[in-house]
Amino acid sequence: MISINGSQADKNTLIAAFQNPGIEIKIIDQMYLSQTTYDYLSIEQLRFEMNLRKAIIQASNDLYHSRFSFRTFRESICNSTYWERTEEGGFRLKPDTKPSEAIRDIYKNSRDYGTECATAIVIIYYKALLELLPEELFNKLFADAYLMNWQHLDSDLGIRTEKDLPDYFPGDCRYFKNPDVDPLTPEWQGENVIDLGDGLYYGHGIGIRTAEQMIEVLNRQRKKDAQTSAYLLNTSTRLNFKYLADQYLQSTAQASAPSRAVPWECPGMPCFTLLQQN
Amino acid sequence: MHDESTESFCILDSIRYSRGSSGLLDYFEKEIKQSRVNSLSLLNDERLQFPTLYLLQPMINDNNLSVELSPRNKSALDVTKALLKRDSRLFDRLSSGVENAAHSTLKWILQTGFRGEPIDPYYEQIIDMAAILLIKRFNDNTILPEVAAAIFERNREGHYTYDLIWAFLEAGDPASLALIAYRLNSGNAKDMELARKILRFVPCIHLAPDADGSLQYIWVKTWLQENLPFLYCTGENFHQRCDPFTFNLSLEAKYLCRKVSSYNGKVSMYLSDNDKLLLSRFNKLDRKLQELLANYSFYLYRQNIYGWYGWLNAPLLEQIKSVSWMKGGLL
Repeated sequence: MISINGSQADKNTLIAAFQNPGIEIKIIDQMYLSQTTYDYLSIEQLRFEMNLRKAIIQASNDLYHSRFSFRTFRESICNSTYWERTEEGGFRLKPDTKPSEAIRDIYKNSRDYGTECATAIVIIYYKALLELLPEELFNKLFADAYLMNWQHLDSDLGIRTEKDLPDYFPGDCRYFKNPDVDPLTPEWQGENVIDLGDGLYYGHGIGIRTAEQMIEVLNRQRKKDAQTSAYLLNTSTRLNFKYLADQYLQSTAQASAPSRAVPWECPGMPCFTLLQQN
Repeated sequence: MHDESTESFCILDSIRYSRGSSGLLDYFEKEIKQSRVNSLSLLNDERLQFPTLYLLQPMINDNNLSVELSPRNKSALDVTKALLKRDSRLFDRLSSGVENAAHSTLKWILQTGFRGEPIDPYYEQIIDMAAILLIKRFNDNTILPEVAAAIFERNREGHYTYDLIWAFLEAGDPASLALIAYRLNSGNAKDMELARKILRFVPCIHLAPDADGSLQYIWVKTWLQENLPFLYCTGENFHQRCDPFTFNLSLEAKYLCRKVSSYNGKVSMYLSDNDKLLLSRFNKLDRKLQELLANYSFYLYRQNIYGWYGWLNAPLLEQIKSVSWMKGGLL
């Protein structure tokens, strides 16, 4: 079920709000069939999330087709024009550098970059947001970008991981765990992937595969006497879509919502969105 | 330069500490030219530390000294090759038939080599791989203090820590969390930040993440002491998410006052039909009530085991009434 500003929304009306809908129909259908009610403050907020999910999928496809390489953190590489490679193998945005240009460079000069799968997901998120947000807003929100797996994340991304959700959607980041990984190759202890829809996932270092194929690849990276297969966890890592939508809507001065979403208060607290009254 | 007392160090290590890497290389170069026998004697000193052997490896190879090295030193250089290539099959081949030697060699590499500045970009990888193999291949948790020390030392310097943190957590040893909790009291902001991330599953950490470190240390220490028998490793780590709950508390186990397997969270002992009935009622309650009952059960168990047994087998409503004072009588 989907509700807009407290009222149940008509599915066809929602779909009509999208020009050339593709993956949006699939997601909206899934939300409608769900036992859970997905609440949005406005149709613009819903539209933003759908657009962002679509952009995440596109950014994943683009990264897959680039020359961006898989490297462990010890051997990671980046273009020093825009990024400083830190001692732990992360990429810190250089001072007086626009994050928009630095993120674009990863895709443009992809052969100059190489790192592990979790960092690739964060890069995908930034690229997707770059396609949707006005550049000035993007550069303001992410002025201190530091790409290092799931650490040092910009709080404006609002990245959260949750377990045992009722639904998983295209554009979600999922995780294939490989418990019997060869101990000398810990980078294969799991694979962070983007759900591309249609049963396909993109994971940096493996590529675009079905779940079974992902598991097959990970199982080839196990220790000699492995007993346990790799498997897909019941978790999803997501951006704070509503907060980002609100940032976008405020900056473009579109239809105002009756209340505003704010970033997660504390990492680790139960998943909720605080509503501020105007 | 290192300024520890050099009384317990062999000559080569003393040179390394007092004159640095280049000083060591100069010294050894002169020694080889003067006397091969003496050079080997210096290398094969039992007190030698791994960083020194690693630094001298090129000279050892250039001067064909490896055939005359001690078994430990030979094993260490062989193992280093496998660790640098991260090749498990090579490691197996090199350590086949001498399993105990491989274990003790890895331990020596880690215990003598985890401190100090990395010698080159791959040195830390060797230490990491040694730690990982000791924990995951040899199930050796005795080295967790060294691993914890290495994690926090590297974290302060901004070096790569995630493989070591993964290895530490893969040990699945709740008692080792004391090594992490201790850093809350260190006064070092980076230590405290990392300790809080790893201990996020402890209620006082995720509910009050910005509280004073020394206060958090007391809370965490108390909480760990009480709940140690009921903690299990979740398998979550920083590869998977930014905010892993690395361990979890089994409320079922605490309610029954039974130890839990630290690997899978299952109650270690056999469950009778009565235990299963008690748990089926318990699991229908909301989490807050489960927490209250589990805490009260364990409290009673420690006070009076006979009274506890009677309470545990009393009707559920009576159990709930008995803990209502903990909620200010709002039940």
